[in-house]
Amino acid sequence: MATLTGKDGSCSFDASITSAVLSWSITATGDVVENTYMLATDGYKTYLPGYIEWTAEVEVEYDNGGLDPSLTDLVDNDGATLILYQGLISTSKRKYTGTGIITNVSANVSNDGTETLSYSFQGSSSLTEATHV
Amino acid sequence: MSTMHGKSGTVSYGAGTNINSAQAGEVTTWTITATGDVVEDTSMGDTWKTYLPGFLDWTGSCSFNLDSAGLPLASLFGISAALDFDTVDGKEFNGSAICTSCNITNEKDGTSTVDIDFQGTGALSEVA
Repeated sequence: MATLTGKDGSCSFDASITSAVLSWSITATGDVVENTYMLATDGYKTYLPGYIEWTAEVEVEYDNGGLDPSLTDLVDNDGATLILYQGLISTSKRKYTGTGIITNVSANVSNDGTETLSYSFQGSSSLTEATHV
Repeated sequence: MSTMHGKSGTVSYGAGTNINSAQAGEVTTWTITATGDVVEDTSMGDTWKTYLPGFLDWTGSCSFNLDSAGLPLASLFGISAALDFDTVDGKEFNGSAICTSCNITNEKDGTSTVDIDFQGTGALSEVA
């Protein structure tokens, strides 16, 4: 077993490697619907699994070459392929792939730090996990 | 009586299939929250509020360093499976649960980490 360090990670959106990535995160959620009834066994509530959903966040250094992904990607109604890579030098990397729609771009500029951008993605359909060598 | 150190704890979901031994060996924390509903039955003339116990409910969560073997996202969601939280030193908590959230974080100056939340369905049991 080997844990993964973040420093070898990267991000690709619409087949373009995103530059200067600081961090990324994925949140996958599964809906539940309660089906508890009177006289439930042991008095405990019961649930059934429902739909699955995912979102992602990517934070980058704001490069003077412009936004990457660009603002035009915000108006892409179909979304594009988002791939988030983890990795450890000399071993296989893991990646998470799905269709992401950019829902938010936020800039953070302060007088005592580097300028950063945060991209929010809404996943549409499945998120898959696989090995990437 | 003796207190228990957390370093010996383990997590298993789906009998080790849905969270496998690779992830189970990288656990950094697990928590359980059990709650009991109450319904108020206070009436005029009472001085103190009174309540009756209602349904029981429980949730669980765990965090671990993500292993290079990966995380089987497809097998985490959409099922109800056996969830076991073990202190190893003496106590185990288990029940059927549904994964409701999985958060994977990758930061440039840290390890890759995963946080998973579960909704319990049915009873939570405590065993020695």
